[in-house]
Amino acid sequence: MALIEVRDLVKEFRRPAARRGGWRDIARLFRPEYTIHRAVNHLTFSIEEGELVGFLGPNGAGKSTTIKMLTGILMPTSGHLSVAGLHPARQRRLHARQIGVLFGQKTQLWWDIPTIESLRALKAIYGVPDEIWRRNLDLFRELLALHEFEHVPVRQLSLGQRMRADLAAALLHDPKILFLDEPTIGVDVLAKERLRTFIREINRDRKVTVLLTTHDMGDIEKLCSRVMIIDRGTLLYDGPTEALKQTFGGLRTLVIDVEGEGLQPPREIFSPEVRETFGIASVEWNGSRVTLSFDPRKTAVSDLIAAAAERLPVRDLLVEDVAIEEVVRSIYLHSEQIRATDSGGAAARQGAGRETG
Amino acid sequence: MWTAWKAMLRAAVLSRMAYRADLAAGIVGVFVLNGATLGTTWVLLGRFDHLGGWGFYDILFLYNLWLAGHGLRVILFRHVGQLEVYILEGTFDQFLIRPVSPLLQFLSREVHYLGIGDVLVSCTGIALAYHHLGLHWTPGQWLWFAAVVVSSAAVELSLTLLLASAAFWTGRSSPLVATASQFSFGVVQQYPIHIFGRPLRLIVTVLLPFAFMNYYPSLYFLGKAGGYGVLPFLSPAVAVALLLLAGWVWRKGLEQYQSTGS
Repeated sequence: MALIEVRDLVKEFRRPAARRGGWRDIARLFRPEYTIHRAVNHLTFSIEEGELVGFLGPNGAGKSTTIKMLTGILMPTSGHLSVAGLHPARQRRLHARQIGVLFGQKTQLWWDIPTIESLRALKAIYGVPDEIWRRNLDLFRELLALHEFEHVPVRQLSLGQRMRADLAAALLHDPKILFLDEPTIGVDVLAKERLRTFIREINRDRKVTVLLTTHDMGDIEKLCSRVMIIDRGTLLYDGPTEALKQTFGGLRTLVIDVEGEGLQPPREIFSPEVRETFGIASVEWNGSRVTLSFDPRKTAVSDLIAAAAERLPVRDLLVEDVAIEEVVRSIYLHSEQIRATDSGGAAARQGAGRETG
Repeated sequence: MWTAWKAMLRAAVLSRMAYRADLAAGIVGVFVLNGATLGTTWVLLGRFDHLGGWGFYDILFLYNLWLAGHGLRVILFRHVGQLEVYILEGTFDQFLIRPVSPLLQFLSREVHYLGIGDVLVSCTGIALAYHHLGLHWTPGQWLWFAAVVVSSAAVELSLTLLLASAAFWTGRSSPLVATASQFSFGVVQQYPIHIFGRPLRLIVTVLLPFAFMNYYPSLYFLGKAGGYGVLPFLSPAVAVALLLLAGWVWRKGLEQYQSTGS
């Protein structure tokens, strides 16, 4: 059995219906009306022990709701949920011992007391034995440089230090599973690198299973071998990070800087026939810069460069890999278009109904 | 659970110590505030001699018994009325991902030394009243008095918790807590409630039984218990019943929170 099993998971929220004015609002004081919002819609996935999985999705896609169900904060509306054999919300206290949680937006620590005092309080709350406490503290001092700021109150820490402190707090009791909700949000480049290295090491050396949500594609590319993309409560993609690039788009770009300013775009250079031959998907001219996007499965980069050098006064060349950011953007966009069509269709049906009725 | 509670309380005390400069100012402030309230009563009674048959030192006793319970509550549980802020700011979620009861974590999250001032003032006030009324309590009566003070704190705590828990359903509960506490601060605190009409007496006895913080138990200590039946002796029982009720509502609220995340 997988470490985390999620099957047909649904979470619905009731929201008070929009005001309509007049007597209906008064009547609603006695009989409230609600609209049902389904934040998570028949979600199914499983995560094996030792995996490091990235959880992506636009704001409001259902990421946080899913994390809150997995951590035992929220009770699912329906569906099956098991984390290391336990039901997070029903067996909350047992479950709490086997997980570590970090919310990037909100510290878990006491705001006004030195970081080490917060950790001491957590040691008592989790009943961490002395030898494990010492071992983990040594580890955090070595890898997170905890000693640099352990006597400083959390409210005076930089964001990067605060994340390190929160990571230490989440791992103090040797959890099997680590949930990280936006662990690098607002953190500078160097601090980000440090956090990522630590997360990778914890996953590799201590076999801690990690599920992290992020809006930073760097986190995904540098950390996660597997990625899940969610929107409107359902999974759009679940698979290897590498395969994501090939499945969606999969185009690379060749950027060519040419000699001479304001060169006229000689369209015939990349005529439809030439494009077809070299598998060029699009051509963009911008002053002295030409950007070609191409399918690497159809054309070797070297052929394309040779062809360009024959036809253009090339000054400089740059081959860019598929940016995962672009891939994800196109998936989000695609999903949004479907949503727009859906609601457009619904409105049209409603309109039609009114005409006939 | 005991170690966890001690550790959380320690963290709360350390948090408060981070703002040590407030300590002295806070305690002085409490003296001034309570002095002003009692001063008003003194002036009032200087004119009318007594209030519903209660003289100044009777009122002093009534007031300071309330203050003792209130102060005790404030030291440990002043933040209980702020539950909605915990929910709103997401602090509440962290109580649910730790292996200790969320209620225990919430209750031990903050301490407030303002209450120390309250307790000091109340000790002074009760000593004054004790002396001027010529009271002589047996050890048993002192013990009963201690039980009444603790019950008084428990009554205020559980009523506050009960009303604050509304935030689990509505997201907002501070107006409710503030309105209810008017019956405590504005009614039972410094007036013997028999001077009021029946509806108000019923409210502070049954609906929001703040009168068990000071009025009813005072009747016994001041030798005015005749005709009140068991009411002067009910405070500990009322406190226990209210605590159980508050605990039950809290659990229901928690279930609601976990299903709505409001």
